[in-house]
Amino acid sequence: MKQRILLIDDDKELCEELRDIFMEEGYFVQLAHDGPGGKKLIEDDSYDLIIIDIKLPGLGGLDLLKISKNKEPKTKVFVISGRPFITDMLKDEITKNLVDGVIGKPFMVEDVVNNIKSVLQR
Amino acid sequence: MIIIFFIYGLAFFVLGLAVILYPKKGSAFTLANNFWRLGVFGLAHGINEWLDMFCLIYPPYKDILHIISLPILVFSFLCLVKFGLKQIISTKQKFFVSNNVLPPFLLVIWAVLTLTSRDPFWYGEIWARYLLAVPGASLAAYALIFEAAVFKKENLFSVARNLNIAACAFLIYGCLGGLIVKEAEFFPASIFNYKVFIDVFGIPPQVFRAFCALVIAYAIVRVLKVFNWEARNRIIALLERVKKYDSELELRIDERTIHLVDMNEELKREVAQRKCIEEQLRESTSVLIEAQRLSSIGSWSWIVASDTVKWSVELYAISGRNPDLPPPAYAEHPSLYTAQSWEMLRQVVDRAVRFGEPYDLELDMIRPDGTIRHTEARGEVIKDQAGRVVRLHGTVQDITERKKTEAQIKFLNLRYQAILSAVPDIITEVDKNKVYTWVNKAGFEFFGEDVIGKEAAFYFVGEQETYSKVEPLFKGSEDVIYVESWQMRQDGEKCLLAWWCRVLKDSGGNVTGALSTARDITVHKKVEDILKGDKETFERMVKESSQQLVETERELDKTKRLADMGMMAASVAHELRNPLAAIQIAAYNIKKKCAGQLIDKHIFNIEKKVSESDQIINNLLFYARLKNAHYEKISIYDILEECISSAENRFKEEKVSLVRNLSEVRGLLIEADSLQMRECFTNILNNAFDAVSGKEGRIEIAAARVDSSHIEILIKDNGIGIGEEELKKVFDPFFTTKSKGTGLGLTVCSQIIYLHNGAIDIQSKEGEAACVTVVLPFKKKER
Repeated sequence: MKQRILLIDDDKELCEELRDIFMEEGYFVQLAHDGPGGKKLIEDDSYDLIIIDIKLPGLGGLDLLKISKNKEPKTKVFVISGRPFITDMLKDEITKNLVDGVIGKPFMVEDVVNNIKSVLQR
Repeated sequence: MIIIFFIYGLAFFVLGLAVILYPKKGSAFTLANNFWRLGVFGLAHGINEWLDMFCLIYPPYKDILHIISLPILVFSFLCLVKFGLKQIISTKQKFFVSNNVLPPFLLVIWAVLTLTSRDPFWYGEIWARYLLAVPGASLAAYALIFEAAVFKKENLFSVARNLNIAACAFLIYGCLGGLIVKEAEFFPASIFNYKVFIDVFGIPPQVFRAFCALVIAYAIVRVLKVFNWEARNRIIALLERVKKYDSELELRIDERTIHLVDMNEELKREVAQRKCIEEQLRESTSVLIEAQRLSSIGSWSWIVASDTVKWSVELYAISGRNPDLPPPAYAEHPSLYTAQSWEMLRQVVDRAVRFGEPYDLELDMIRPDGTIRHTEARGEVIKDQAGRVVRLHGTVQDITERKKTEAQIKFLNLRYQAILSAVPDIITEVDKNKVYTWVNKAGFEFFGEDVIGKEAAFYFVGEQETYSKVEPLFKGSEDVIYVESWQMRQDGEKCLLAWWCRVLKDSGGNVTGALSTARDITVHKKVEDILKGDKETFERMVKESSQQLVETERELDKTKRLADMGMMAASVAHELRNPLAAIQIAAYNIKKKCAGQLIDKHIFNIEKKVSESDQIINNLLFYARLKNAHYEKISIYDILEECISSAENRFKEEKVSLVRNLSEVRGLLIEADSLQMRECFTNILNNAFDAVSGKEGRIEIAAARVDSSHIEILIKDNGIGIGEEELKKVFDPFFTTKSKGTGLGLTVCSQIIYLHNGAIDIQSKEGEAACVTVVLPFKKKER
């Protein structure tokens, strides 16, 4: 059975490009472009990995992160953002092990793919 | 004849009985003490007469009766003699014969004459009459007459009369009974005798004698009444004395009563006085209690041996305890104080008991409701004659309020001190000799720390009239005086001070000194002078100032614009990253899906430009975020080495020779932000490498100490150099001469060095070498 990835980002083009890459890698990928849509998918379905943008219309990425971890702690969560010094901002969540990876925009695709693979193999 | 003898005897017998039996005791008259002799005479003579009568009745017993009657006759006459003599002597005191000599003498003569005669009985009677009856009757008569005179003096005429009658009767009796005797052969008995008498008068002498006896008895009995009278008088006198005593007694009772009343009054007064004293005592006690209440001082005493504690009312109030309960014993005292206070108290009390030391300390008392009162406790000891401590006594004062007030005063004082030191003006106080007694902080700063005790003139610059100007103040005629005076500041600067001096007076209105404020008006004065003297200069100053103002405004505007730009740059950078990311992934997907030599080159260019854009964004973000340095101790040598090697790495294709001269700062630690330092030197080195790009470059890096607290870092290249016009703008943001720069590199550098209180400078000429100099302090300096 394919491993499932949920990608939540309001940049639709970026989402589609990334979906191609992840599907190529053999994952099942679902997309959401706003907070409430992402929340609904998290609540209705289950995923092996969720990639969330911090800044989302409707509901913040950090809220979605908490919802997901409350519902299913085993689900891995990556945060993706273009903000500078995003790691500093997420210091708390990282220390609490709520965040399994951080992707800063722009990024080298190979790095991201390798990162995801290693997390999902664990 | 028998009847005559009977009456004769009876008369004398009655006389005798009456005289003897009549109560005369206590009489004042001498007669009373002597009368009994007359009484005995009467009885004896009466018996004698009756014996003569029996001779006539019973003739055969004549001789025996005579033998009995003769001694009785002699005895009766002797009694009469004795009576007369005694009476005369007791009344007159003196007489020619002694009372004790005459009767025995007469008796002896009588006895001799009788015993020597032929018939003693016959002659005995004759001699008895001659020798005893005649003197006896005469003496008695004389005595009675004499006594009558005495009574006459007492106005007792009837007694005197009766006594005279009795005396006459005794005289007649003496003649008749003494001189008329039985017949005998010798004279006068041979002539005057019974026989002759009867022959002459026809009646026997015994009849006359009997008659005389009756008269005597009658008179004497009458005389006896005087004793009745006397007794009555004495009773009356007694009664009067009784009365007198009675009244005396009453008088004394009255006196005594008055005395008692007085005593009672005295007692009442004393009671009143005592009450008054008690009242005073009560009053002073209540005054003491009131005083203790008002001053919040309670008192106590403690007898050590019996652990007897006494507390005053106020002490109960201070400790918040019920005054109806007995005071707590010493053993209970730990609960009255906080642990610390109790420990202190325990120690001083211990010392007081052992060494007699008094104490005075502050203690925190705990009331039963848990509130704490600050108290000041004092204690003293009382010793006995042997020097042992027997008693402690002392006071406890509630100083909670005082403490509060003290704290308040302290606070107010601090505030007042703060105000005085915050005031920029000099404030001083001088005494009446114009000697500084107090100055505020500004005053110390102006005159120096040693100003107190110096005279005001000590600081005067040159001759001045300041003293004469302020004289009215010290004379008391002015309250406030304004004066300007040139005075020497402690650093030698001459300053013009504007003084406002206000007089200080004591409660009696005498001047004690002055309180003055002074302001340095040197600058004002100069301006004033300039204004007065040189209008042009003033205008120039205004112009300069306004120009400065314009420049400042411009600077401010620039800074603001830069700040806004920074904000915008951060936001733009962020927004750009999303599309950059999408472009990059898209390029990646193209590369994957349509792999081929022709496309790969273009894809590579896209990726490269994305990466460069990201670098520009990073620079922008870094500049925007530059705010405060995060100081830590860093090795400047290590940082420079790191930056150099990473730059070498980046520009490894270039042929550049690097000259390091850093040994002097090896091991030196300075306080700085390591990230910012890296950024700074990376930027400078990048510029240097860029400048020497494409030719045989040479870059020199040197670091050294300039003084005890600064280091200097030089980065010198032999590159293209910078033109004069460009040199002015190198630190401006977004200024760049390079085709691929953000124009923020040196801006960021200068910002970082500025944040570290350092300095940065570039020296260069077009086409020649450029040299960047950075000076940094060792230590962080608070702005």
